[in-house]
Amino acid sequence: MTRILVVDDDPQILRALRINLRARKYDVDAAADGAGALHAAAAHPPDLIVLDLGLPDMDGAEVIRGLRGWTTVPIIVLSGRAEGTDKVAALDAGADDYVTKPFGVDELLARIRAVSRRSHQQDPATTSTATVGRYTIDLSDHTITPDQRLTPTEWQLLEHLLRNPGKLITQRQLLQDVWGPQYGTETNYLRQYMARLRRKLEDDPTRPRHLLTEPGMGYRFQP
Amino acid sequence: MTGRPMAEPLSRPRRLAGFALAVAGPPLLTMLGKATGLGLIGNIPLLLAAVVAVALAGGLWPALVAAVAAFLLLNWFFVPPLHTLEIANRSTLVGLAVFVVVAVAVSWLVDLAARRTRQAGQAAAEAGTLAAIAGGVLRGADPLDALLQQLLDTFGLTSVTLLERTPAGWQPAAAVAVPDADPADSVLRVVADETVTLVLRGPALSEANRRIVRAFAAQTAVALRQQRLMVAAEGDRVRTALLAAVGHDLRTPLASAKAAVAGLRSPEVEFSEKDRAELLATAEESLDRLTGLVANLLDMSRLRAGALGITPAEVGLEDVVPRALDELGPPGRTVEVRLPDDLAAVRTDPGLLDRVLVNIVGNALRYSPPERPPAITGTDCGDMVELRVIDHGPGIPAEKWEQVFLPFQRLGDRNTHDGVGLGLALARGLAEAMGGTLRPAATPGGGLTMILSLPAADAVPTTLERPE
Repeated sequence: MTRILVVDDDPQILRALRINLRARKYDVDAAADGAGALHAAAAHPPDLIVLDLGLPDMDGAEVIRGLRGWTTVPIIVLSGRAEGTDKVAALDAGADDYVTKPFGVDELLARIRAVSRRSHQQDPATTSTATVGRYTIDLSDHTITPDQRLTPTEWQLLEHLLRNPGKLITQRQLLQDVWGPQYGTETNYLRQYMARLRRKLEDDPTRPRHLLTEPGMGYRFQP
Repeated sequence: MTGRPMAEPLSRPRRLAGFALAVAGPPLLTMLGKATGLGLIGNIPLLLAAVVAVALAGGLWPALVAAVAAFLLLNWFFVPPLHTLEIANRSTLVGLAVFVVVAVAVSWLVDLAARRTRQAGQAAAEAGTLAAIAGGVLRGADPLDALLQQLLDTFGLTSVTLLERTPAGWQPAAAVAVPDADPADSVLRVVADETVTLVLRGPALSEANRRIVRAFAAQTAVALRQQRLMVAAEGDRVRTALLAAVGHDLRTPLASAKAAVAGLRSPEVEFSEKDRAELLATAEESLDRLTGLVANLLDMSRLRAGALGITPAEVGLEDVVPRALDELGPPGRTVEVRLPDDLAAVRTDPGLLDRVLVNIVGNALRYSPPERPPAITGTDCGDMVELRVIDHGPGIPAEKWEQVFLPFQRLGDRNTHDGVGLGLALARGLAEAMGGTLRPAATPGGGLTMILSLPAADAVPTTLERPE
């Protein structure tokens, strides 16, 4: 059974999340502050952590750094809209994804599934095919049905996204993985390549359903 | 008014004319007297008349010159022994002495009368100006600017600035100026009271005019205070309206959510599956409305308090627009998006831009006829990118365009689904905080177009293929 540690200082949210997650057969631990979270994570290592950024005792990014010192457990951050910069700091500190409060339970569950799927797949090459709209993409032999031609860079970018379905991949991460370690701020490259991929693969490129942008943060493949 | 100093002497041209008359008049009259054979008795009143004429023309000093000249001429030409300055006869001496005394006395009186006339004229002008000032303060919608403008016009100044003492030092509170000021103009500071000072730039002012300016200064201080009070009263009015509107708009969805949930929890009632689903949908929709309202209120108060955190990033409108439309639910899917493929990215805060778009597009959807949904287009305009949200609704007359950006103003009837009239005010505030603008225009064929102009991201190099 998957064990999830929920960290939030609001008892109502803790209660709502505990009931919703247990109903979906997750094991739930709860902590109300950063110190409690670090303690609980050490005592009963969870399979996933849902972490609120606005904790009374310490900064959310600090908690993440504290955890990342010894564990790669997936972390999903909960944040209010006011904490836009904190969200970026949390992702930089090692969070895997974020959900903005107020959030829908479905949205949170989808994120939980996306990041835990990734952490269970130790060998990402096992996912060899993916579907974007009416196209089936075979990642192992680089073919698309029906036929659609992609440049090598487009392939690289698409592959990174498709191998992490549902997961947010930051701009910096994509730039460094696809273009090279000296890149990190050339977000206009990403913009142009994503636009090309959408024109080639999305049914309605102006309303993408699969190759999504999180403006200012990164990109996500929504299966 | 007491303690008033003597009015200035007569004007320079008048005094020069007086002296010219004083030098030329008596000799000419003496020649006339000699030619007509008038003699001493006839010439004395003639020259007396000349002295009075000089006094009228040039004032006291030319008249004295004329009196002395007349005395010498009478003595030389008419008093025996002739052609000397000696006077043989005692009665003639007395007569000439009386002539001089009368001439001087008349000159002095004439000069005094002329000065008094001028003073009266000046006083009347001052009274007129002061009355105009007082009237301006009492009547004008913006008396402060009107006062400063009047000061500028009345004295032909090039600029008038009202300084106010603040905790940060003297700050300009209001100013008027003519387009091209002469740097050589003199500057006059007039202290109105301990917190208000006027700074005038322009031609040097006479003492009498300075007196008027001091009265002006006192009036501007009053007008400034009046203006501050009106602003405070307006702020109170807005706050009261906000509380009333927010109270209503918060309570309505809260009440329906609460009613739905309380009903579901009630042990006495057994709801059908369909009713349960409907009650739960009601609760969720109400909470969504509350969420939108609270988000707007929070942003508005952050904006007002200057506490808005802006994190600019390079953002593609093709990325932000669909997300904003998603947030608007099923109606958002009807909006037609026409963004060119090569539209430049904008440099802005993506989260705030999303709020701006949700509010503008939400407003456009609200007023669009169902068969003609709004459209969104984008154009590059130099270092700005323009996004147009075009609706084909009833439109708004141009003279009311600015009104839609005031909080809690919605044209036409309000209905409860519209929520607090905060959306467009917030959208404009946020757009400006991000270095952009939001302005309305008419849609050709009817309707309203909102033009959101945002700074374009730095020019980008052509696409770079990944190094192999």
